[in-house]
Amino acid sequence: MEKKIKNIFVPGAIAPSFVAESIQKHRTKTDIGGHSIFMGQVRGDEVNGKKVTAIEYTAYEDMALDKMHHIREAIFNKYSLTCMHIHHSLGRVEVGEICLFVFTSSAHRKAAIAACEEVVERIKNELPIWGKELFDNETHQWKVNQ
Amino acid sequence: MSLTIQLFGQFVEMAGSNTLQVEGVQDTDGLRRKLEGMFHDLQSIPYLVAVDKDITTGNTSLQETSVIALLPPYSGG
Repeated sequence: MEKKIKNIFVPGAIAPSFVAESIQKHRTKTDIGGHSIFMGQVRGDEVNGKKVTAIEYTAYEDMALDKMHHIREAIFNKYSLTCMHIHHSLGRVEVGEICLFVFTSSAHRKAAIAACEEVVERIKNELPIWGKELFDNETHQWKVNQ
Repeated sequence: MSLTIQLFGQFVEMAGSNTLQVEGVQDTDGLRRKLEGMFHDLQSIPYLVAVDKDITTGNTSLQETSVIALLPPYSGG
Protein backbone atom coordinates (compact mmCIF):
# COMPACT_ATOMS: atom_id res chain seq x y z
CA MET A 1 0.00 0.00 0.00
CA GLU A 2 1.31 3.42 -0.96
CA LYS A 3 1.63 5.50 2.18
CA LYS A 4 0.15 8.97 2.07
CA ILE A 5 2.75 11.75 1.90
CA LYS A 6 2.30 14.00 4.92
CA ASN A 7 2.51 17.75 4.64
CA ILE A 8 5.02 19.24 7.09
CA PHE A 9 4.55 22.88 6.08
CA VAL A 10 2.56 25.43 8.03
CA PRO A 11 2.08 29.08 7.09
CA GLY A 12 3.93 31.42 9.45
CA ALA A 13 5.12 30.67 12.98
CA ILE A 14 4.30 27.53 14.98
CA ALA A 15 2.27 28.61 18.01
CA PRO A 16 3.33 27.37 21.48
CA SER A 17 -0.32 26.40 22.02
CA PHE A 18 -0.05 24.05 19.00
CA VAL A 19 2.96 22.37 20.64
CA ALA A 20 1.00 22.01 23.89
CA GLU A 21 -1.97 20.50 22.05
CA SER A 22 0.33 18.04 20.28
CA ILE A 23 1.64 16.85 23.64
CA GLN A 24 -1.90 16.60 25.02
CA LYS A 25 -2.98 14.39 22.08
CA HIS A 26 -0.50 11.71 23.17
CA ARG A 27 -2.17 11.17 26.53
CA THR A 28 -4.20 8.27 25.14
CA LYS A 29 -1.11 6.54 23.67
CA THR A 30 -0.20 4.68 26.84
CA ASP A 31 2.57 2.55 25.27
CA ILE A 32 4.72 5.71 25.10
CA GLY A 33 7.26 6.18 27.88
CA GLY A 34 9.29 9.08 26.51
CA HIS A 35 8.98 12.07 24.19
CA SER A 36 11.72 14.14 22.65
CA ILE A 37 10.98 17.58 21.25
CA PHE A 38 13.14 19.97 19.25
CA MET A 39 12.01 23.48 18.45
CA GLY A 40 13.87 25.85 16.18
CA GLN A 41 13.47 29.52 17.05
CA VAL A 42 14.32 32.52 14.85
CA ARG A 43 17.41 34.15 16.33
CA GLY A 44 17.90 37.91 16.29
CA ASP A 45 21.47 37.88 14.95
CA GLU A 46 23.31 41.13 14.43
CA VAL A 47 25.28 41.38 11.18
CA ASN A 48 27.40 44.49 10.49
CA GLY A 49 25.22 46.62 12.74
CA LYS A 50 21.95 45.38 11.25
CA LYS A 51 19.57 43.27 13.31
CA VAL A 52 17.60 40.29 11.98
CA THR A 53 13.89 40.93 12.60
CA ALA A 54 12.37 37.89 10.85
CA ILE A 55 13.09 35.01 8.50
CA GLU A 56 11.02 34.40 5.39
CA TYR A 57 11.00 30.73 4.40
CA THR A 58 10.39 29.30 0.95
CA ALA A 59 10.72 25.71 -0.24
CA TYR A 60 10.62 23.43 -3.23
CA GLU A 61 7.60 21.89 -1.57
CA ASP A 62 7.07 18.89 -3.85
CA MET A 63 10.64 17.73 -3.51
CA ALA A 64 10.85 18.54 0.21
CA LEU A 65 7.77 16.43 0.98
CA ASP A 66 9.12 13.54 -1.12
CA LYS A 67 12.46 13.69 0.70
CA MET A 68 10.76 13.98 4.08
CA HIS A 69 8.71 10.88 3.29
CA HIS A 70 11.91 8.90 2.66
CA ILE A 71 13.58 10.28 5.78
CA ARG A 72 10.50 9.35 7.83
CA GLU A 73 10.61 5.78 6.54
CA ALA A 74 14.34 5.47 7.22
CA ILE A 75 13.93 6.78 10.77
CA PHE A 76 11.06 4.40 11.54
CA ASN A 77 13.18 1.51 10.22
CA LYS A 78 16.17 2.51 12.32
CA TYR A 79 14.53 3.38 15.64
CA SER A 80 11.75 1.80 17.64
CA LEU A 81 9.43 4.81 17.58
CA THR A 82 5.76 5.00 18.47
CA CYS A 83 5.25 8.17 16.46
CA MET A 84 6.92 11.20 14.93
CA HIS A 85 5.49 14.60 14.01
CA ILE A 86 7.26 17.31 12.01
CA HIS A 87 6.17 20.88 11.27
CA HIS A 88 8.18 23.52 9.41
CA SER A 89 7.17 27.12 8.76
CA LEU A 90 6.81 28.73 5.36
CA GLY A 91 6.57 32.48 4.89
CA ARG A 92 7.47 35.07 7.50
CA VAL A 93 8.44 34.11 11.05
CA GLU A 94 9.39 36.88 13.48
CA VAL A 95 12.44 36.79 15.78
CA GLY A 96 11.65 34.72 18.88
CA GLU A 97 8.97 32.68 17.17
CA ILE A 98 9.12 28.94 16.45
CA CYS A 99 9.88 27.85 12.88
CA LEU A 100 10.54 24.10 13.32
CA PHE A 101 8.87 21.56 15.60
CA VAL A 102 10.05 17.94 15.70
CA PHE A 103 8.32 15.58 18.11
CA THR A 104 9.31 11.90 18.52
CA SER A 105 7.89 9.37 20.97
CA SER A 106 8.90 5.87 21.99
CA ALA A 107 8.43 3.29 24.73
CA HIS A 108 11.87 4.08 26.17
CA ARG A 109 13.70 7.40 26.02
CA LYS A 110 16.81 6.56 23.98
CA ALA A 111 15.02 5.89 20.69
CA ALA A 112 13.00 9.12 20.90
CA ILE A 113 16.08 11.23 21.73
CA ALA A 114 18.32 9.73 19.02
CA ALA A 115 15.60 9.83 16.35
CA CYS A 116 14.76 13.45 17.15
CA GLU A 117 18.37 14.56 16.79
CA GLU A 118 18.87 12.64 13.55
CA VAL A 119 15.66 13.99 12.01
CA VAL A 120 16.60 17.59 12.82
CA GLU A 121 20.02 17.13 11.19
CA ARG A 122 18.51 15.52 8.12
CA ILE A 123 15.87 18.26 7.78
CA LYS A 124 18.59 20.90 7.81
CA ASN A 125 20.88 19.02 5.40
CA GLU A 126 18.48 17.37 2.98
CA LEU A 127 15.28 19.39 2.60
CA PRO A 128 15.17 22.08 -0.12
CA ILE A 129 14.08 24.93 2.16
CA TRP A 130 15.55 28.45 2.16
CA GLY A 131 15.48 31.15 4.81
CA LYS A 132 15.82 34.82 3.93
CA GLU A 133 16.95 36.85 6.95
CA LEU A 134 15.17 40.20 6.97
CA PHE A 135 16.99 43.11 8.63
CA ASP A 136 15.63 46.14 10.46
CA ASN A 137 16.71 48.46 7.62
CA GLU A 138 14.65 46.72 4.87
CA THR A 139 17.67 44.82 3.49
CA HIS A 140 18.13 41.06 3.72
CA GLN A 141 20.61 38.21 3.36
CA TRP A 142 20.17 34.51 2.62
CA LYS A 143 20.58 32.36 5.70
CA VAL A 144 23.43 29.82 5.78
CA ASN A 145 23.03 26.70 7.94
CA GLN A 146 25.90 25.93 10.31
CA MET B 1 15.21 21.58 -27.28
CA SER B 2 13.78 24.15 -24.89
CA LEU B 3 14.04 23.46 -21.17
CA THR B 4 12.26 25.15 -18.28
CA ILE B 5 14.35 25.55 -15.15
CA GLN B 6 12.66 26.20 -11.80
CA LEU B 7 14.51 28.59 -9.53
CA PHE B 8 14.44 28.87 -5.75
CA GLY B 9 15.75 31.06 -2.93
CA GLN B 10 18.41 33.57 -3.91
CA PHE B 11 18.32 32.37 -7.54
CA VAL B 12 14.85 33.88 -7.95
CA GLU B 13 16.38 37.26 -7.08
CA MET B 14 19.38 36.63 -9.30
CA ALA B 15 17.23 35.93 -12.37
CA GLY B 16 14.30 38.17 -11.43
CA SER B 17 11.93 35.28 -12.11
CA ASN B 18 10.79 31.88 -10.77
CA THR B 19 11.70 30.11 -14.00
CA LEU B 20 14.20 30.32 -16.84
CA GLN B 21 13.95 29.03 -20.41
CA VAL B 22 17.16 27.52 -21.75
CA GLU B 23 17.83 26.39 -25.33
CA GLY B 24 20.39 24.07 -26.84
CA VAL B 25 21.36 22.11 -23.73
CA GLN B 26 21.43 18.29 -23.64
CA ASP B 27 22.64 17.43 -20.15
CA THR B 28 23.32 18.85 -16.69
CA ASP B 29 27.00 19.60 -17.45
CA GLY B 30 25.90 21.69 -20.43
CA LEU B 31 23.23 23.34 -18.33
CA ARG B 32 25.74 24.30 -15.64
CA ARG B 33 28.11 25.79 -18.24
CA LYS B 34 25.31 27.77 -19.85
CA LEU B 35 23.89 29.10 -16.58
CA GLU B 36 27.30 29.99 -15.14
CA GLY B 37 27.91 32.01 -18.29
CA MET B 38 24.61 33.84 -17.86
CA PHE B 39 24.96 34.38 -14.11
CA HIS B 40 28.54 34.71 -12.89
CA ASP B 41 27.38 34.50 -9.25
CA LEU B 42 26.76 30.78 -9.83
CA GLN B 43 30.48 30.16 -10.22
CA SER B 44 30.99 30.84 -6.50
CA ILE B 45 27.83 29.23 -5.05
CA PRO B 46 27.77 25.43 -4.44
CA TYR B 47 24.35 24.88 -6.04
CA LEU B 48 22.60 21.62 -6.88
CA VAL B 49 20.63 20.58 -9.95
CA ALA B 50 17.54 18.46 -9.30
CA VAL B 51 15.95 16.45 -12.11
CA ASP B 52 12.51 14.99 -11.43
CA LYS B 53 12.91 15.91 -7.75
CA ASP B 54 16.19 14.02 -7.33
CA ILE B 55 19.60 15.62 -6.85
CA THR B 56 21.84 14.80 -9.81
CA THR B 57 25.34 13.50 -9.22
CA GLY B 58 27.56 13.35 -12.27
CA ASN B 59 26.36 14.32 -15.72
CA THR B 60 22.69 13.56 -16.40
CA SER B 61 20.93 13.78 -19.75
CA LEU B 62 17.91 16.07 -19.96
CA GLN B 63 14.62 15.75 -21.83
CA GLU B 64 12.05 18.38 -22.64
CA THR B 65 9.77 16.65 -20.11
CA SER B 66 12.39 16.72 -17.33
CA VAL B 67 11.43 18.69 -14.24
CA ILE B 68 14.61 20.66 -13.67
CA ALA B 69 15.35 22.82 -10.64
CA LEU B 70 18.34 24.89 -9.58
CA LEU B 71 18.83 24.74 -5.81
CA PRO B 72 21.01 27.08 -3.76
CA PRO B 73 22.49 25.74 -0.46
CA TYR B 74 19.68 24.70 1.88
CA SER B 75 18.93 26.77 4.97
CA GLY B 76 15.79 25.27 6.50
CA GLY B 77 15.10 24.79 10.19
